[in-house]
Amino acid sequence: MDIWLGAIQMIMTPTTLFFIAAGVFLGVVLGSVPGLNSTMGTALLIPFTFVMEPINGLALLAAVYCGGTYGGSISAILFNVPGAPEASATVFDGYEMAKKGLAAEALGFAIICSCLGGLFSVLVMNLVSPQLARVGLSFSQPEYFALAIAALTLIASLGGGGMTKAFISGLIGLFLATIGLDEMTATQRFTFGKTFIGGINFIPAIIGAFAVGEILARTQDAQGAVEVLLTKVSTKLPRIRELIKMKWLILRSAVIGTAIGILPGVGATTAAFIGYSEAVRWSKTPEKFGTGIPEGIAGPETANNAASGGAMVPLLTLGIPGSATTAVIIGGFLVHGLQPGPMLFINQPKLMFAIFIAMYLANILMLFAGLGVAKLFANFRKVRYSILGPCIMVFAVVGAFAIRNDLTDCWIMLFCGLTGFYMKKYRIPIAPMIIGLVLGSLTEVSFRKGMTMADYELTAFFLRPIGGTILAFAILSIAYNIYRNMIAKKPIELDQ
Amino acid sequence: MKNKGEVVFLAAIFLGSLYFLIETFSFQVPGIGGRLGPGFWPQMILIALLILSGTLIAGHFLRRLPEAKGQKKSGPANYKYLLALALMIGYFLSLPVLGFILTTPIFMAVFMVLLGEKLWGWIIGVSLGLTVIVVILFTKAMYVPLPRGKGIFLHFSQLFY
Repeated sequence: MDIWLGAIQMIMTPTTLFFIAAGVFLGVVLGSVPGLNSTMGTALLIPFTFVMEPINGLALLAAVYCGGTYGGSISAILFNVPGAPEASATVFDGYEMAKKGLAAEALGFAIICSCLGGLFSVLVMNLVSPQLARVGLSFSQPEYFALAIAALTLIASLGGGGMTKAFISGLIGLFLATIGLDEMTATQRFTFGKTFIGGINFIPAIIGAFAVGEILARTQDAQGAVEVLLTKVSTKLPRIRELIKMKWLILRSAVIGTAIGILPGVGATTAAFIGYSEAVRWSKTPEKFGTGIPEGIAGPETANNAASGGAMVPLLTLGIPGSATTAVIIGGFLVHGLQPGPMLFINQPKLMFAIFIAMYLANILMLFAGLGVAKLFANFRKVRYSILGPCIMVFAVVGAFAIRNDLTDCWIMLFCGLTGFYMKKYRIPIAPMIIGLVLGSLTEVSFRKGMTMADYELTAFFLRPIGGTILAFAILSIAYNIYRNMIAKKPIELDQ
Repeated sequence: MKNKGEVVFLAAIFLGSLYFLIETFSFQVPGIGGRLGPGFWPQMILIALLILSGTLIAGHFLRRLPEAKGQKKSGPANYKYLLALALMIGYFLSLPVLGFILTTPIFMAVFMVLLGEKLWGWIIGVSLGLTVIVVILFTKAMYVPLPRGKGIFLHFSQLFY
């Protein structure tokens, strides 16, 4: 109790509270602008934290991280451009809701679910960090493969009546993920000389498939180009009743997000896709996903923010970063002479608990910062598309370019934009392609490494308790979807 | 056949898959990375793509499906989409030569006109304003470099970032 009181005392000073609030606001802004993200923000802030008290500096970095994960959903919902990779899955239903004139509701669900997901993960981190970190580290390649396959089964659910087209789309994504250097042998695959040696980053691909594809489609549709969006957009928080209706979805996504966040190297983007995947799998109306429903926002948004808290678990307890941003945050500890890991809980318990409190506060303050920034961005939706379209295009170009400072990414974006445009035209769903691209590398590498570990016995994947259960669950899910769509001939429309 | 465009798109996927599948046979690196070499995974994917896209193409020929609901008829609007695509390609080609600060306002202004914007005050104001905001936000505040161009254009860009 003394430690808690000491930690509260450390946090409840005007300076620390100011840094938490400023960090959240900065994180939300950075997350919402394509091309900027919380990893970049934390990296740039580390030198400034050097002159601060350790708690101020670390609280600032943690707050930027929390805010940045949510921020990406604002531009994903309003403009079909995910501001941060973590918001990629939010595009599927977020933008569709905005197109229906429900942008305010979509923003409201995103912010509340982000907040709930974040709070849940901090609570878990607070209660059972060391135990969870040990479980996370026991995950091996077969478990990673099983997780990736479980997420990929979403493709079958997204296909509806056009399951073949959905699988084609997913396979295109998986294929795109193989371009570049092979992770295990460093062999060049489909690189066309050195052009694609760095592979296809999924951010330009997502921006292209959704934003550029949409711009091209609206340019083709003369009416769409000059349309004036007069809908007044402001964030409309969901009612308690609506949230209670989704309680299991939110809880499931929060658990998934936290668990995925703990796994080193997987991260909030994968968590968002798996959160979305599970939301579809457990839904009574999976065919409605992708058409603009709040459940399609609640799933990924809860999961990605929960993953940001989850990623702090291995960082604080073992000194191993769970994501790119937490890897940068290690720098924040080191500049103050602190080495994250088990000894920190023994030597600096108050500081550790103060970081937990800072993250609780950051997730709550995110509600207010999110409302403000979303309101600012929402004003742009009132602008004519003839003005807004070119603005989105410029942010899309800068967002793609900023990833590696390479114009190749802009060409990849344009190619994916054109592909997305034609896929939409011929009613081939785009979402499976993105899921395949995001999870492709994880699936391939974990499968090949797992096979090597198991001496090329495929059955070994099913004999491991965690991995086997997840795989069996995934296979049953696919079988059920195939049964429902092909044998039962349930009529489902593919509205993309 | 009414769904010509879709068949052409699927045929492009089929032929692309076939081309890349042939390419995978040059990947084999014996003794490195275990028995499942670098070609194994792409081969699985491309074979599946060939089968699925081939099935759909065959289905089109066999069933002669009615025209899909989502398809747009050709007309003046299609022409605009091709112009927009050409404009984007031109923008990407000129970025490494002329730099971001010179090409972006021109690209934006032309794109706005193409999309039917008629108010020149908005066209000029937004084109210049957004370029300035992006340059300040990315290069000054976040230290993210933007394309600077070459030769004289490089010197011009260096005046700003």
